[in-house]
Amino acid sequence: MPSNAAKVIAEVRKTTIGLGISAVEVRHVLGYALWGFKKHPFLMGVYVGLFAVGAVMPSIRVVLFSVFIDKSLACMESNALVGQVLFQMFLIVGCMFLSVAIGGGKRLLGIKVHNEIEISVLSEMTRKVEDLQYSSLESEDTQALLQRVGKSTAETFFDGVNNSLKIISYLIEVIGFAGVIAAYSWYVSIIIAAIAFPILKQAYESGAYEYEVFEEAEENMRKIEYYEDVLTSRPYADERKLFSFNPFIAEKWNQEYDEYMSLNEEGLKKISKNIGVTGTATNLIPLSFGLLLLVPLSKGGITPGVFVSLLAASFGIVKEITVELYWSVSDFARYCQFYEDYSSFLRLPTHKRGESARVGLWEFKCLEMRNLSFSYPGAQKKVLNNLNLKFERGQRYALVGENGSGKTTIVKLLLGLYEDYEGEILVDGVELREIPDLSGFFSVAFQDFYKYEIRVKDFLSFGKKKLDVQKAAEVLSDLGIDPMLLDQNPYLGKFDESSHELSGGQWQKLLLARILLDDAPFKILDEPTASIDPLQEAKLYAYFDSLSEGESTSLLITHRLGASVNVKNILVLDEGRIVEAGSHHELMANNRKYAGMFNAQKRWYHE
Amino acid sequence: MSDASKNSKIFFSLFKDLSSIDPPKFYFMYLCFVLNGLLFSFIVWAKERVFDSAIAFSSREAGLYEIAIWLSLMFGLYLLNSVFDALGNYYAEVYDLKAVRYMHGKINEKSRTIPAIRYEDPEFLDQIEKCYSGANAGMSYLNSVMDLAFMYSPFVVFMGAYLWGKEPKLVLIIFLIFLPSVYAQQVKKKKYKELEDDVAPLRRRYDGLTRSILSLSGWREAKVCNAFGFLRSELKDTVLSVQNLNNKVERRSALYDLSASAVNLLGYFAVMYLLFGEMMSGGISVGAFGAIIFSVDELYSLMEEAIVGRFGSSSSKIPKIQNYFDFLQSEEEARGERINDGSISLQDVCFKYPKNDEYVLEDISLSISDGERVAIVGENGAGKTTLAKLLLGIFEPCAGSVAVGSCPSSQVDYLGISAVFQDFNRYRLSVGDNVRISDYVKNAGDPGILELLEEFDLNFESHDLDTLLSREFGGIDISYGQWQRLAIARGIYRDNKILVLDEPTSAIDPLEESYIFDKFKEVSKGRTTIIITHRLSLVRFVDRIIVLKDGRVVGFDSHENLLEKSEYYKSMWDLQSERYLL
Repeated sequence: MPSNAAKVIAEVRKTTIGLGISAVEVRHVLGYALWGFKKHPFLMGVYVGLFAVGAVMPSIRVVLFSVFIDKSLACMESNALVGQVLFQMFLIVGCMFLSVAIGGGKRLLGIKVHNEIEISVLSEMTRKVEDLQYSSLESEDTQALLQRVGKSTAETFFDGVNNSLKIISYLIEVIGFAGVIAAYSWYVSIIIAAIAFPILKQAYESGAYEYEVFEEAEENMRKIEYYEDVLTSRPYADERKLFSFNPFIAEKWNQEYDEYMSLNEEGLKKISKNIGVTGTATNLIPLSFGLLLLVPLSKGGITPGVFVSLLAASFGIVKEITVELYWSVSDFARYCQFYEDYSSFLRLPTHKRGESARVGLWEFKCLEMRNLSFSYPGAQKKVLNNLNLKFERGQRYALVGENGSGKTTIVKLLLGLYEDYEGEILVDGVELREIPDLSGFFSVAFQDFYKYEIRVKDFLSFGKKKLDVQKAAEVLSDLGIDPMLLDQNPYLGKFDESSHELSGGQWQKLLLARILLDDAPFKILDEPTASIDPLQEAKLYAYFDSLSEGESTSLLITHRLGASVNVKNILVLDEGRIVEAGSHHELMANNRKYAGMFNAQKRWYHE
Repeated sequence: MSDASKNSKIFFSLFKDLSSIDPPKFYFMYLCFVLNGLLFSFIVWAKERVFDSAIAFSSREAGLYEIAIWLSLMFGLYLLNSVFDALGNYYAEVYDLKAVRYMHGKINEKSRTIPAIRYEDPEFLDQIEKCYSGANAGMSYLNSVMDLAFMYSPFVVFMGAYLWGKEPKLVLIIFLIFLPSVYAQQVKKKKYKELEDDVAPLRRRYDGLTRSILSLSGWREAKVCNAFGFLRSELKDTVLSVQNLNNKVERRSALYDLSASAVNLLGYFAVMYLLFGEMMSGGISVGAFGAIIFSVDELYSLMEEAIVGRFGSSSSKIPKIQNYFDFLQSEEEARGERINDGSISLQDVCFKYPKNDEYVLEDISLSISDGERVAIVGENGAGKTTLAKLLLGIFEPCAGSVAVGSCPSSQVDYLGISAVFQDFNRYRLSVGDNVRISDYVKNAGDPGILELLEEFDLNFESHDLDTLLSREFGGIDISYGQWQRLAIARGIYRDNKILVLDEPTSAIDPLEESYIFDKFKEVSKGRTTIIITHRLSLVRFVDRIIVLKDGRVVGFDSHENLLEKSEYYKSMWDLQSERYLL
């Protein structure tokens, strides 16, 4: 199966214009430069200008040197010209100083360009990610794309811009040098161009192939890095110690590395041969150049100064252009691929944004799921099968059922993460899919919630509104967390001395605090006490009982039936539909699914 | 130890290690570069001849024949240069890969004997990261030094001799070009190291935040909480902080380089002036004049390549490579004792995590007999998981002693001990390997594994054992509940006299859980089984219960006795069981 890069290169070959450069490649080279221009025209203008001027300097140097040598030779005859020679020296040093200054300018400006690019990319990417459709985000392809694009995005962009600019400046150098030669001897310049061109083309093509060869090996490297992670990183430390599986994983690491090495060696052999051939051939250019120039030299068409200067320059420039061009082009293919990826990323389907429905939604009376059927994209099995349930404002609900019965799926549909379900979800008669912006309506404690390593206060309010610190302190101490944390407001997690680490249970309590402090009309708790111990758990449920009565509707999802016992409306989910509903006593009296589950758990306490 | 001697120590250790991987290729590679260094020198000499004969030819003092010869010779020298360059580069690239593999291999090997507690130390985790960077930079650092010594230096020496031969004063050139750049590099090295240290935690925060947006669970949560705006501004702040730090150092560094270049240019001017003077006074020929001027140019760019390029970049690598060697020298643990039975005893054990002041466990003394079934219960943060790791011999106590199977826990080789951890790992390996990994030496054969999986309601066909459990590597995904059962199978697969289960059924629903515990009852016959849980429903299953509160044992007895004697235990029990009595 052709790899991605092979596809890019195949496409590139297809649209080749006669010169061996394709439209796609030109688009990419310009693409990077243009992207930069769009965002920061003035900055990029100056930056590109520096590259352009820098590229012209070598040609100017050649001319200055040839004049210098000629003047020196003349000076040997007549001392009167010493002043002129010194003047030439000044010009040359001035020219070199200018080159150095341009280099320094490029570097300093480059820092600014890099920084601006970084901020632009960050903004563009995060805004795009926010608007993605969940179903697209979940797909394997998108995940892989995000991985590729998310890694060192700004760096790659910056390098891509520089790479493009470098290629353009090599072109300018070549043209400049050709111009200088042509000024002295037009036919020499034509012959040299004829010799140089195929060599340049070869350098260019070899560079493009290099990338393809190494892309395959990248897959091996990902596995290698994974195995190294397993062998030396923290999450695996306990099992690694206890099971002493190092040799087992090391063996796999070795196998993967063997493959990696042989792929790379093969690639390198090919490339080195290319470089060798190209590098050797490029020497023909100065050689033929030197021989050819002898003609005008003997006829007096060019001076010895010009001859010496041009010849010396030719060695330098030619070598630099062919070798540097080679490397730039091989990098170029990589940047092309990255640019393609980034463009694909920007083209991912998005969820349309809309006006917040706050005003209407918040006063809802009833949220109903009618004849709801749903299966995940790409899956056959119906997770929800003609489901019917109703939520009324201000009531407390519990949703119980075996694992895989579809509890979490219901949550995902409520949150609007998937839209292609059969049946209806109606909020006071309005279909959920018609409501453009659900933000703030639900407040959810997910089972696999994310442990954001941000400040405590931000974790509780995500910086969106001012946190009622008083209330927050109360809630935290009720939950068993030190309210001092609010005053100190440290970063959560483990990365420097000042950050505050939390245990699994403490994270969960902090999350619950967030939900409690939220003013959303519909609160969902998905296994909220999995990591919390009995004493706290009991306190927590009593706490919920006292709070949740009244304004907000709450839905508790659990398979720990002791938790749902006091909830008035228990919904039992089995095989994608609600099979029983009622209070604990009613369901026990039914003596069906719920009773069976409850008794199984009860058995351990009261045999 | 001074910087210079530290650096030379690193260099020689690296040299010894890396040259041993494949000595013939190693030395051949450098031979190519040495030859190139010499070739550079010959080329200068040939250039002089070419220029002189060109000028003679132009003034009709010499014929075509002479210049053609010299041109061809120069061409030949450049040709050889290209060939050796290509060869040298090929071997260098391949060798670099081999070196990286070798050094990574050493890190992998070493990690086998690192005590588990070190992974709780954030500084150590940083060190490992830098270690890998160091390993990646090892060969290129070696190359830099070798090139400086064997490629650039011979050329510089030759040029020195050549220039001295023309006019001794010219040798000054070399120093004028050389010294300012070296000084600038030294200063930059220090600044970059400081920058590295400051930026590392910010980078980690950035990575964490990025992951929180790109990962499925993070994105979903951010969407629901409307947190994207906030996360975006946090990211921006972090980026700006990093940029701020970077800018200061980069600007200063650019300034240093610029001033060094300025001095270089002065030197260049001085060169031209001197040479011109020599040429006017007949001391050197015009050809020599041209050759030297242009060679000084090449000398200058070579030196810049050497100093700024190789030397400069390598200076940032040295601390990382130092990390690599330090890591390889860090203390190991040696374990060689086999447990005799399934008993575990703790005597006055205290434990706290590295870099923490608070004790997680204090004054713990207890004794578990061979074949006993014990539960450890308590609030979160009471220290249950930490206690489990002490019982398993993964951590050592800070005070007191732990004996596992009548051996000191620091000596135990873990054979006969197994566990199902609360945060069990989900390996991106095949189904079969995910089980086998706990006891890879055992040759139980596939049917054994399939049977075991079936017992925990994971029904696979034999060809499924090769299915990769990883979306990232092109395999499939299974649910968390399935993973948990797989982890239990993994724990049981390993032959054991002592089995520790840390919250093994948190993601498993009640009916399943019942079933699994019935299985445990069977499986734990004759074994010491320790279950950690905060669900007291499991106490029906064990002989005795350890009750942990704030890092201390407040009860260690049977369920009935504890109900009588421990108020704390009774209140926990009542609270949980009450809810099932309705």
